[in-house]
Formats: sequence, C-alpha cells, structure tokens
Amino acid sequence: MLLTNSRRTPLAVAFFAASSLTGVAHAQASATPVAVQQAEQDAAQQRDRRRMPSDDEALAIAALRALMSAPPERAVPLIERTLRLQKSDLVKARALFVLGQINSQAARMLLLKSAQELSGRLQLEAIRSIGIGGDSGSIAALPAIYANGSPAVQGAVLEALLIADSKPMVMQLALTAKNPKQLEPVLNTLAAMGAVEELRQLGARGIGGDKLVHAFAVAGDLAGLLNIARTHADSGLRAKAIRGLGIIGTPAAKAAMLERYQNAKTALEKSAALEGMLIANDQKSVLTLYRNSKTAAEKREVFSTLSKMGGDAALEAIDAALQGQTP
Amino acid sequence: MTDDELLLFHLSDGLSAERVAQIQTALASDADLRKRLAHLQADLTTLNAKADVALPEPVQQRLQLKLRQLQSASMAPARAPFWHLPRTQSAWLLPAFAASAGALVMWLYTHQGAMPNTQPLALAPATATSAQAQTMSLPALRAHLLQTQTLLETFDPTSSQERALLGEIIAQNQNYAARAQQLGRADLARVLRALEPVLVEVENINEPSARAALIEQFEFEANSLQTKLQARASKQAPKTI
Repeated sequence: MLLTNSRRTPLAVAFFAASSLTGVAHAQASATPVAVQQAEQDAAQQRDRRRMPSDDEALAIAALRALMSAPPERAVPLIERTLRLQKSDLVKARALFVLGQINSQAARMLLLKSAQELSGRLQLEAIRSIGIGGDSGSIAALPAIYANGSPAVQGAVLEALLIADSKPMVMQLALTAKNPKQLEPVLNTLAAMGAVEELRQLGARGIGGDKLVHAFAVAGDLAGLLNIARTHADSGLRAKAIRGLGIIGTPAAKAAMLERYQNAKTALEKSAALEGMLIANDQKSVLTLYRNSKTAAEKREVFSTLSKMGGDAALEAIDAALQGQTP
Repeated sequence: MTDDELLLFHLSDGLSAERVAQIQTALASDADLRKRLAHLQADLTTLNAKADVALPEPVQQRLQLKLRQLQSASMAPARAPFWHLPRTQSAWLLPAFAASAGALVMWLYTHQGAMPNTQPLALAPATATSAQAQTMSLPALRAHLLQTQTLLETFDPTSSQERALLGEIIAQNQNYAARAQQLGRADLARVLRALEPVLVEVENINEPSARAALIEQFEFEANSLQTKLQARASKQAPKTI
C-alpha cells in the first residue's frame, strides 16, 4: 500500500538501535572503573540478546506466543511464573514482550514492577514493552526510571517514549536535562518523532544550541531552519541551518538552499549551501551555480561539489571544462 | 474486470482514482460483480483467519524474484548508508508494488494451490492516490509482515539490492505505523514502531548469528502481532482497521 510519507526518519531510530540497548559507548567514554564494569555487563547482555534460542528456549517461546490469545487472568500468572523461575533471559525477554500486549491491570502492574526492579537486559526489555503496551499510567512512571538510570536505561526510556509517541514526556526530559550530553539524545528523539512544535519551544527558550539545528533538520522543519538560516546572529549557526536544509531535501528546501547561496553573507554560508546540495544530491542547482559562477575561485569550488556528486550533470560539466567551455 | 482488479479495489491499493470510480459505478449496477467481490472478501477473511500462512518455497522465491525485478526497474541507486534522504515519489511506489504482490501471492496461493513457477504474477499499475491510502486493510498489513519475513529469511546484507529493498520495507513499516496511528489503532502503531529498530539493526549488522537472532526476534514479535490481529478479527469485522 502506498501510504502517507511519515516525517519520522530512521536516523534517530538507528541511533537507538546502535546505542540504547548497550550504552557501551557512553560508559566507555567515561572510563571509570564503574563505567568499565557497566560496559562489560552491557556487552555481555548484547551478546546474549544476539543469539538464537536453544531448542528448549524455542519451545518456551512458542508457548509464550500462544498466550497472546489466552484470557489475561490465565496468561498473567503463567508469565509471572516464567519471569520468576525461567533461567533463560532470552525467554524472559519474550515473556516481557507478551506481557506488554496483554490488556489487564495485573499485566500492567507486573510489567511496571519489572521495569523498576529488574536490572540489565531484562529491565531494558521491560521498559521497551511498556512503550509498546502504551499504558499511560506506566509511561508516566518512566521519567523516574530515566532519572535514576544508567545511560543504557535512559536510552531504553527514550526508545519506549518514541514507540509510545509520547511527545510531552520527552519534552519534559528535555526541559530537565542536566547537561548538553544528556540533552542530545532527547533532542534526537523529538526529531525522530517529528515534534516540530516542541523543538521550536525549546529554541524559543534558548535550549539546545547547535544540536537543535540538526534536530530541526531531522524533524523536517523547513520553516524553523530557514528562520535560523536567514536571521540568526551567529554565522556558524546560520551555516549549520543551511546545511540542514539538505537533509530535508524537498524541492522547497532545495530552492531555499539556492536562495541562501545567492544571498549568503559569508563564505561559510556559501560552502554550507553547497554541502547541503551535495547531501540532497541537487545536481540541477549546483550546475546552475556552476554556469553562473562569476570568479574562477567560485567556479572551482562549485565544480568540486559537482564532481563529488557524479551523475550526468557532473559529466556534462567535466566535459565542458575539458573543452574550455561552460556547460 | 479481473479478480485481481477487484482484489486491489478491496485493498484500496494499486488502482488509479479513475479505475476505482469505474469499479464503484459498476458495483452499483451489477449484482454479479458485487457477488464476485463478496466471494473475494470472504476468501480473504478465510485467509486472514489462518494464524500463519506458510507460502511454499517456490512461491516465496517467485515473490522475491518479482520484488527484485520491480526494484531494479524502478529503484534509484542504493540509499546513502547513514543518513536517510527523503525518497522520491518513484521510490515510494515500490512498496505499493511490493505490498500488492504480497497480497496477491497470498490470495492466488489459496485459490490455486502451488502455482507453476513459470506463471507470471498479474500486477496492476501502482498508482495509489492519497484517497486510496485512507484505509488500511488487515490482509494488506499481514501481507506486509509476511513479505518482510520472507525477505529476512534469505536476506543477504552484501547485496545492495536486498539492502535497498529492506530499506524500502522499513520505510513502508513507518507508513503503516503512521496510518495505524491516524486511524486510531495506536496499539498496532506502537508495535510497528518497535519493530523498526530491529529491522534497522538487521540491515546494518554484519555478524550472521547476531542477524539470525534479530530476525528471530522480529518473527516472534510480528507473529505475536498477527495473533493479536487474528484475535481481534474473530471478534469484529475484519476488513479494515
């Protein structure tokens, strides 16, 4: 089916996939003994997560799937027992997923308790399952888990809120972030959610700085980026906003990049516009600029961008350059 | 009017607005045509009622071959590896072909049994409009999940074509999640959103055993979703969410 084009991009989701369930990068960056220990634990969890089930585990997992269609009053005690007695974390992880799909108060309470009291991989799985389950009461408890959690737990909470599409809760985390390092993944989450209004509110409060520009781009906020590109006092930030237009890549964004190149106040902004066109693979605009270049230096810079793009426009320009002509 | 066209009409997919209007007019005046459509809908309901539809290997292979042919015919070069640039309209058409192919293969299989390998798939031009995207049928969603699993079973990460196809499936998954949200099925939307990072990891991971484990996770969660859909469908009208 051809459905509407979602603004959510896989970019931030890939970020979560790469880091939220491990937290390895965060922990290694700190390099304290506790952080190293945490990194080792995370790596072990990751290895366990990425293995195939044994025959016994596969049987247990098949049984868990069958619980999806069982009455909650029968299914929840069986899952509770699995979480208590089963030795395999892989089976327990699948049990937590099923738990999140059961619509009963007992299931929600058990899942929340698991997210609060378990540790390691299973805590992350329980948090994810809360996001999938979407119960507003359980989701409201996630910020407290985030506040006291490791980077891996914080990543899992953000992923759960992304899954639950809970923009207000992520906004709350953005407003209470303690430092830019903690704020960045929160901004990435808002961007992945396409939370344009929330990002603009953060911008109006002066929260986010240059990271916010990237978030605007990922969220597809053309108007927000253009506003920064045209009016911000910091030329570096203006340049980042112009480059971000390339990530959006729509015809309107391409037109805006061309306009920003032609009206650039600094060389930095011109270079940023070319980089944006490179990101958007906008050969047509770059070829137009090449044809209209007024100086040899400008022609060389634009030609350099064209040659990086490849494609017919570049070949046309190269051919013309070799013959001493302008295409 | 072929059964394939009626099926696509039922699935709100792959037909031009003009053709949809023609079929609607014909249905209004032709009792036999309405009966044929009702039979098709009943068949799909029966298909939907089966928790798992295991397509035979030859059919799966043909489906994959067809998807690759469609891809090579209509796809731009493989995506940029780490930022995902907005797709062109033509690139967005591929999932429509793919989903249509999945739904049609399922339907044809249940109608005709295992098809001869040489029989071409009948595909209508994918010219879906925004109006046609206003509904999302459960068979189509199931076809999307089945198609994804079929690709994952033999996914070769060294093939740029297969990586591109998986990328399109991920985009399609996003669209299903967005539509489910818009149609008030937040529960489906959340599961689909949760599946996306798993697919992204499959796309990017190199170690075969780790990839197999991720695929196992995807299959478990997708099948659980189908079980849930099945349970809901047995209680309510099953056609559209």
